[in-house]
Amino acid sequence: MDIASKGDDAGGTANSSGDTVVSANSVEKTYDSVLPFTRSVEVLDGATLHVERGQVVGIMGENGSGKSTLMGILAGVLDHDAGEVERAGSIGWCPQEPRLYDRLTVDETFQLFGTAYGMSDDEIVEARAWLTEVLDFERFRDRQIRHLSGGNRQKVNLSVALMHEPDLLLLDEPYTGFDWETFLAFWDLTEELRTRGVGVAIISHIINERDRFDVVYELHEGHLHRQEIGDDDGLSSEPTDDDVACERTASFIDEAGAGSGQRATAGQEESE
Amino acid sequence: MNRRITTAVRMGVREFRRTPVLLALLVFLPAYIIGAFVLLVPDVDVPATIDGTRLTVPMTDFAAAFMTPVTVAILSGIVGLFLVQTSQAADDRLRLAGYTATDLVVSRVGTLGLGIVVVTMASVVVAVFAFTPESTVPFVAATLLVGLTYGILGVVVGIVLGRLGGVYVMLFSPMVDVLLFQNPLATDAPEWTTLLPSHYATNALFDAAFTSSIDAWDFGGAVAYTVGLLVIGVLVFYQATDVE
Repeated sequence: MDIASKGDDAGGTANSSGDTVVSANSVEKTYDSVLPFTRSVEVLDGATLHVERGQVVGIMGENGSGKSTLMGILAGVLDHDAGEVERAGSIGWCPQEPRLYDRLTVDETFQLFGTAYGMSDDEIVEARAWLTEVLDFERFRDRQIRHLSGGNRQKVNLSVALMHEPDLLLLDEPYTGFDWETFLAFWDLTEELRTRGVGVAIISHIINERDRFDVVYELHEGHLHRQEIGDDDGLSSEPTDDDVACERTASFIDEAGAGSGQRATAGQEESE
Repeated sequence: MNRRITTAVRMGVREFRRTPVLLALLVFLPAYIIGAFVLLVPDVDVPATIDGTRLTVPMTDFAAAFMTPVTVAILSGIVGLFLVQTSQAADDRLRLAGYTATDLVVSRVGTLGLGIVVVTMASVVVAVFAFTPESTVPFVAATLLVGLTYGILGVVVGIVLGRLGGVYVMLFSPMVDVLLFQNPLATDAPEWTTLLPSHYATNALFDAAFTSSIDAWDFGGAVAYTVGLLVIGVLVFYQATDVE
């Protein structure tokens, strides 16, 4: 399948760098309420992030830190108040809660979204065969989404994001509910996508998996802090785009420097 | 019609078909509401004001004609509400995947239209068991306009209010609008009630039910009201499913 040719279909815009599939610069987002006597919640305050082709990027942060909001903004389904987001090529978005049509079967879901991606019937069948085999849910193909278990629903959710082999994959806790074999299969699949040049951004709470990422961003108090994996001292206490440092991040660097190798992140393996 | 629209409409119809409660309502409610009223009302003639003229009509005929728009308004509102509630979360993902705003709006309006045609047909079939309208085709057309009006309202209310609040509003508003303020048995309805959604369509419906004349003004008003609501509905739906 020709990945580059499908870029326009998903509404991607041209990017200044040939290797960058998404870049967010100084993004700000506040949730305002129209009701009186309710407070606004500032979620992102100058967040900056870049994902390159063939790069697997982790986005971490405690519950309620705004990771899913950031992902929604990167995908283009959420508005942002300030800053710039540029995307290149086609996008695959796997939201945390499966956004699927409950009364359609797995096959019909592939058909509907495949049509949306502009795929031919043969390409849809091919993608379905590939993903149902890799993620092991071939036997549920004629079952309605509402009758699937949480784990199998998540497999369909992930497959919808993957089926058109996008240039950029945005995955919000994609392995929630997966059994161990599927979890490993997911990472094999991610490696395969990396070698094909797909840029992958994953929201994750599983700290033990951080070595699988090329870059980790920690989201704290609206700021993103970047760390190149393989360099424990690489996490910057400075946010990616402004001069506001975070105490929590500084303390994390101390722990990493002490050789703990793992982060004591609140809400480990919990859903946000 | 392009491949995306036909696929989305086909899938939307399948979703309807797999909602047994909704299907049961489509069959049960017309029979229950229209049928029960026809059976319960006394077999007498009543005076009613139709198109400004005082007529005397059998109470059973009046009950059948009157409860048809009430039933269609309630059911169409619920269909619109159900349609948007079951699809809204995934619709923005479909937009991101490649559906244009036009593709999605045409698909959803098409599915809603099919649902309203089913509701209208089910209600009219029950009604004509009890009485024969003077002008059948205009009667069906006016009933369809009531359905479209409330179906679009159901979509808008579903987006703005959510499921529980939406169900209350879509059950309550046809009762107030059609049953209370557009009732030909009532006299001296306030002037502002002419602004209510079913005013023109129910006037056209009662004309068709009990007179051989067709009031173009009422039909025109009903069509204009429906088109106006459709524009509002499309804008609200577009805003709710908008992606960059």
